[in-house]
Parts: sequence; C-alpha cells; structure tokens
Amino acid sequence: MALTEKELKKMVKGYMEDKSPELAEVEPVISEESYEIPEAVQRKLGVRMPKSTKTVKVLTYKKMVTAEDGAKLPIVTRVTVDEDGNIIKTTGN
Amino acid sequence: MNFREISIGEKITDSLSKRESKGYLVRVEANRKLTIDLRGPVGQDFDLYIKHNEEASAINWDFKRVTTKADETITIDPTSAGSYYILVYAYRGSGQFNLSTEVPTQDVEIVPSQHIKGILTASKEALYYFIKTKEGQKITLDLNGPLDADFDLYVRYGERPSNINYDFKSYSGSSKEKIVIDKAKRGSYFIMVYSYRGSGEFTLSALPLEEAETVELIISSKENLKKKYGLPNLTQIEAKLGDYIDALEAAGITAKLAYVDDAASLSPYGASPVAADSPDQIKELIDSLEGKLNPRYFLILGGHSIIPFFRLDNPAGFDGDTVVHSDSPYASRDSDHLIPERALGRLPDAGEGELPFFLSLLSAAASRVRRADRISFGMTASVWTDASQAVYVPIKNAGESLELSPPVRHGDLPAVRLNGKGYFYFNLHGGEDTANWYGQEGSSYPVAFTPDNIQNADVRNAVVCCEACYGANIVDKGVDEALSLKFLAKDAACFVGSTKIAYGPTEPPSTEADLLVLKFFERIKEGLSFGDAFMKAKQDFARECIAARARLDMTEKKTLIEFVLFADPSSKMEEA
Repeated sequence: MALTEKELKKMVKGYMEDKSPELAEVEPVISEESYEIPEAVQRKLGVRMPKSTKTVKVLTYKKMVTAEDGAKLPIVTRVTVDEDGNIIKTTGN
Repeated sequence: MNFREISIGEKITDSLSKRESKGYLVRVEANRKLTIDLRGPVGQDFDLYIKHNEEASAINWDFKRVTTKADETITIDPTSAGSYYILVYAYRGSGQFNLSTEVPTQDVEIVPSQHIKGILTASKEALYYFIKTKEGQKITLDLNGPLDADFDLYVRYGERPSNINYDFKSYSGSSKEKIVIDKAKRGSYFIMVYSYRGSGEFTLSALPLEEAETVELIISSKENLKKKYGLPNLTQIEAKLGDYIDALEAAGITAKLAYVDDAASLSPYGASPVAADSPDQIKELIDSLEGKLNPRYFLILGGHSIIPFFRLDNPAGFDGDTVVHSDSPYASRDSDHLIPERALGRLPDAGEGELPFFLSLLSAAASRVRRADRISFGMTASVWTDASQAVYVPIKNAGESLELSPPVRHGDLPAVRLNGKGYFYFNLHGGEDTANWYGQEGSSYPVAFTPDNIQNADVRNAVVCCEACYGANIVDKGVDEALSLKFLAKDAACFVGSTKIAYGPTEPPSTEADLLVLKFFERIKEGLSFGDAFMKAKQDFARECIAARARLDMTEKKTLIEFVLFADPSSKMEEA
C-alpha cells in the first residue's frame, strides 16, 4: 500500500463528505485485512481459490446517535481501499 | 525401450534391479496440473526423468528429479497436451517401487436423482464426481456410455478412487455399469468414470432408492430449565414438548430429545452429560450424537440461558461489538463455523416470568401447520430504499411497496396494516438496549416499528426477516424488550435476524445482511423448510460473495455468524 494513513484518511474524507456526511468528521480506525478464504470454507462450498496475498485497508467510522425516542444507536461505515488506493467497497449499518 | 502406458490416477507397483530403467507414459490434456510421484525403497537412490512426447532418458528430459533418495515427485503445471514419458532409474540399489500420477480437477457433485452428462475423449481417460450421502442411505449409480466403447465405474469413500484403490467397481466389458451402495456411510463417495477402451458421451445417474429415517435432534438443558422455571413448570414444558414430539412423529419425523446435562436422556445414545454452560462441550456432544443418530434437523430448545450462544470474536473489529453471539458453530460439523452444514434453528424462551411464552411457542410448533397468505409487508429506512427494493423482490406481490421511514412512523401502522401478512421484511436501524427499530433520513432517526405495533396484530405463521442491528438480540431480554420475541409470541413461524451490528449497502447489488435475507426469501419461496432455507441461504451467500469478488471479507464473515434462525427447523411455510 503506497498511501500513508494520513493520505488514506484525506482521500476517503472527501468520499465520506459526499456519501455519509454524518460520519465525515469522525476519526476512522484504520485496519489491514487479508482476503484469504479458509480451506474449510472452500471445501464445504466445493470451490477452489488460489491463495491470495492481497491486503486491503479498511477505514471504520463509528459513532453513536440518539434516535427520536432517546435510544442510542450505533452508526458505522466501513470503507475498503485496495493496494492501489481505490475505494472498492463501502458498507454500513 | 518400452514405455508402458498408465492412466491418470493409476498407482502401479514395479521393481528395479541395480542400474536398471523402466519406462511409462501417461496422456494428459493441456493446462492441467500433473503430479508424478515415485516411492521407492528406503536407503536406495531412484531417479525420475520426464520428457514430453518423446522417450525420456537420463540425457534427454524436460523434467528430472535426482535426489539421493528413492522418493521423487515432479509436478508439471501447466501441462501440454499429449504424452509424458516417464523414466524411473535405479541410480543406486534396487527394489520395489510405487509410481502414481494425478491430475487434480475439481470434482463435480452429483445429487440423488440427478443425471449428469460427460465426455471421455480417449482410452485411459477418467472423469471424477462425488455424491454426498447420509448414514444408511441406499444409493444406486448407473453409467450409460457408447455401445462401441468400454467405460468402467469405480467408487471410493472419502477420496478419489483409482483402478487399483476403490471400494466398489463395475466393469462389464461394455459401457453400461451399475453400482449399488446398500448402506452408505455419512460423507462423500468419490466416483471415477474411466474409459478402458474408446471414447464418447456418457450419462451418470444417482438414484436414491431408500431414504434414511428422518430424525430431528432436540437439544436442551434439563437443569437450566428446572433452575429457571422450577420443577413443576418443567413438567408443563415436558408435556408440551411431548405434544411436539408426537406431532413430529405424525409428520414422519422421529424426534430424539437430548438434554445435554441429563445422563438418562443421553444414555440411549451412548453419550455422557456435558456442562450446559459450555457451548464448546455442547457442540462436541452434538457432533457425537450426529454420528449416532444422523439427524436431518437440529432444534435448540431455549434461549441463551438454557443453551448458550457461542461468543465468537467479531471479525469486523472496531465497530463496537467485542463478541458475536452465534449459533453457527452448532450448525457446523467442523471447527469452521462460517459455512453451516446442518439445518438448525432455535426456539428461544424469554424471561424467567414468561413461561407462557415458551409454552405457547411449543404449542405453535406442535401444530405443524404454518400456512399464511403470500401477501407481504416491507419497511425500510429511507436512506436504504434502493438497496431494500432489491431484497424485497422475492416476496413482493403486485401492488405492494415498501414503507419508507421517514415519513412512515410506528404510529402510522395500525394492526390492520399488518394483519394476515405472510412475509415481513425490515431494513431499519436497531440498538442493543432498545426493542424498537428506527428509520433514517439524514441525521433524523424516527421510531419506525415497536412491539406495540404487533400487540394486537395477527401475524400468525408469518416469516419475518429483519436486518436491524441487534434485531435478534435476545440475551437477557423479555418478550416486550425484543421484537424478535414479540413476533414469536404472536405466533410468527420464523424470525431471522442479527444478534449484533449488521451491515448492508445503500444501493444494489445486495451485500451482507441484504444478500443473506434475499437468499433466505428465495429459498423459502422454493418451499424449503426453515432450517434448510437458512442453511442454504448462508451457503448461497458465501458462494455469491466468492464468485463476485473472489473473497469473503470481514463484514461478510460477521454476517454469516451473527444471523440466527428462531424457528422449528423442520417446519415450513405453506402459502394459503
């Protein structure tokens, strides 16, 4: 991964301002994930996948919000960035 | 020098004198992975030389392996089409050796009642299949090939057969072969269709002649039930349970009750009690009972305080959930808990003072009839409208549309809007400490749905799926503190939801919770039982994730373990 954490945050911040403005100001937690599919999973599903050495960076933005009735709700968005610095997935709750 | 032709998968035994060579050849297709394995005598030194389409020698080879031992392996990947000439040479010493060749390919699964077509293009070629079997099942395999060829059939339990190593074989001199396995073991039988002579198309059929007895294994804890409800109430529970077991019998399903902590209930199965507060021990017991009883369905009877959920590490760390409550390990035969292999559901109980809820759940399960109208009710947070539309498709009928929140709030949904619906789909927010579900538009989170909404509604026999965070969180909850329990209290047939924070996209294509619920609805619409539909939905989910992106990421893994099924797994939806 060529991008530093600072560069990553800066790059994704613009995206978050556009897609999830309520979380754009949240400081994300950055983690690295690998994409290996466990052997047992492949066996059970009857698929064969080559061993992947790819890793991605995941930026997790989380905050608690207060609902109309006062209940506390977790709001999370996870942005996945590949080794080339492309945003390849966004998911949230 | 004579090079003897051998077939892929064939294991030959031969011997060499000092400084002697022997030659073999094997034919392969292009772009395969060919492994040639030589196993010679200890203390001797045999070498391996390979040449493509030409006779191999110690000075004319494409591949060689010459260590100081007699065991040598060469892998050619990818192969070129044609013949590989193999020379085995006794550099030092003499003795017997084994030579085998293998071209691993992905074996194709054949299911009972299926007819698979295949083609063998040359003599000595083989194609491989496998069939999953239940304990005691009788399976017939039929092979029909060309009249002018001689195809043979080999079967081996647990691993690929060769024409030397097999458990069953049929080789008649024609291409019409048949193998009957009278009492199959549980697992996989691997099948080789082999051309002894000739080529052409064949049909391989697997016919199940005799199904094994259908068994449902009911798992609960006598001590925990007694502790929570008292001995007199345990008698009431057992009476209801007896009704349920009778109802299963009437439906052709043999129920086997296993109190995990009760020697008397386990001794008929040769098992011993385990700690009822240990998910690991309970899983081990289930694994062992499965080997003896071969259950088709698995029912966990009771909530977290009776048979505890597993507390698994959260694959998607940093979202606030330290652990994930899960039934997935109970549904798996091995230590991998992502992909279920068992049709498993849970009928949970609720708070200590809510015995009537549990008794009513057992009564509803005993009724066995889960008939409801095919009409549906769907509700989504407005921000997820596009994504939810895609999930709603399998249950949506003409004229039906999703309720969007906002503007719709819980007060806008009188019972009459919910009565008689057979399917409910919710894609709303949820929280760990609230029973309500919420909509969203921007930073507004209105209350969209509450237990009061169904207090007076008729949701009997409905299938309910909810993607809300904590939608199926029932740990330490009473009926009015968890909408999942509330739906069950109102006789819904099935509730699918997440015990923890659940994920999904804002727009199609469906991923995570959206994809899992979509797959579940599709499987339910096929007419599968709740347990089968849930198991297959998770398998479909994982396959689609891998097919689409060649991976299972952390939120996808979390989705697989956090979604639970609250239902009688052998029961199914019957549309009125």
